[in-house]
Amino acid sequence: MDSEFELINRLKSESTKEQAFKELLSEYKERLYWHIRNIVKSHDDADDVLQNTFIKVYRNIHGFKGESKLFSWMYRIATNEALTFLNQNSKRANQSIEEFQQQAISNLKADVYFEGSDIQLKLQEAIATLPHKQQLVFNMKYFEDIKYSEMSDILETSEGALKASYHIAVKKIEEYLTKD
Amino acid sequence: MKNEKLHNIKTAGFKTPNDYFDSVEDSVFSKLNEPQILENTESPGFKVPKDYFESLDEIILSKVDGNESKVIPIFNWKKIAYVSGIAASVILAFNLFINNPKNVTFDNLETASIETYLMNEDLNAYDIAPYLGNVDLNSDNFVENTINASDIEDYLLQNSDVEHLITD
Repeated sequence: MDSEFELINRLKSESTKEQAFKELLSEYKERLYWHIRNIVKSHDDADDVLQNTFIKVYRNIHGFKGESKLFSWMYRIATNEALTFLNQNSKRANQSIEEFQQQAISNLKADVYFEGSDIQLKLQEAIATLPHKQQLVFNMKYFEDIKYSEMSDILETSEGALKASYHIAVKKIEEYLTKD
Repeated sequence: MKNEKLHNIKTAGFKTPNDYFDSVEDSVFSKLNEPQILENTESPGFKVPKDYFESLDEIILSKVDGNESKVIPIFNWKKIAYVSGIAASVILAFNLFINNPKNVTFDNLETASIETYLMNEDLNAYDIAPYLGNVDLNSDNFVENTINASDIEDYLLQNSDVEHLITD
C-alpha cells in the first residue's frame, strides 16, 4: 500500500508524472490488455481500447481520490472503455451488442491472433450468451484468476453476489457446451 | 445409562448402507472418467503480434505527450451567452403580452410541467387524499404480467446488489 501511495503521489506531481506513468504502464499493460481482450475479442480492438484506457488514466489521475486501490480504478476504466466500445460499434453497425459480440466471435475462426481449439471457440460462444455482468465475472474469475475480494472492489459488488454469479455462469456454460 | 463406562463403548455407532464398500470403487472411477467439460480451456486462445507489449509503452507515451496542447476557443462564449440571455428575455416578455393568461386551462398544460410542479411542491399524502376517489383497486391490474425466473435472475445480476435484497 505504501508503494502504491508513493506511486500515486508521483503520478500527481508534474515533475515525476512521466516516469511514474512509465512504471504504471510497465506494471499493468498486460493484465489490462487481457482483461479488455476477453471483452472485445479482437486484438486490434483490444489495442485501441487499451490505449484509450491508459490515456484516460493519465488525464484523470489528478481526480483519483484513493477510495479504492489504483489497480481497481484502472480496471474499472478499462472495463467501461471496453463496454463503451462495444456499445458504440454495435450501434454503428446497426446491431444489438449481443449480435455484435456474436459477429466478433464468428470472426475468431479466421483471426490470425486466435489459436484456440473448437472447444475454446465454443466456450466463447457460451460466454456470449450470459448477461454482460455475468460475462465479466466469469472472465475475471476463470481466465484472469482475479480473487473475489479484488473483483468486489473493481465491480463494486459484494463477494457473495459475485460467487453466486460465477456459480450460475459455470452452470449455464456447462449446459451450453453439452447440449449438442 | 448411568452404569455405562467408556471402556464398554467399543464403536461410534455409525452404520453404512448394504454393500456400500463394494460400490465405492465404481462410483469413484465413474466420476474420474466423466468428460471434463471445461478441460483445456484455461486459456481463451487469444494471441498477440510479436513484440506487441514491448512497443506499446512508446505508442501510448507519444499519444499522452502529444495531446496536452492548449485549446483556443473559436467563439467567445461569454458574449454569446450574454446576447442569448437578452434575446430570451425579449421573447419571454413578448409571449407574456401576446398570450392571454385567462385562456390557460388544465388541458393546455404539458404533463412535464405538472410533474415538475408536483416534484417542487412539498405535497404529502394528506394533501392529495381529498382528490382521490373511493374506487376499489382491481388486483387484475397488478398481476397480468408473468415474468419468468430466468428474466428475474438476469435483472438481479445486472441491476441489484443481491446482498442488499437478502439482508434488508
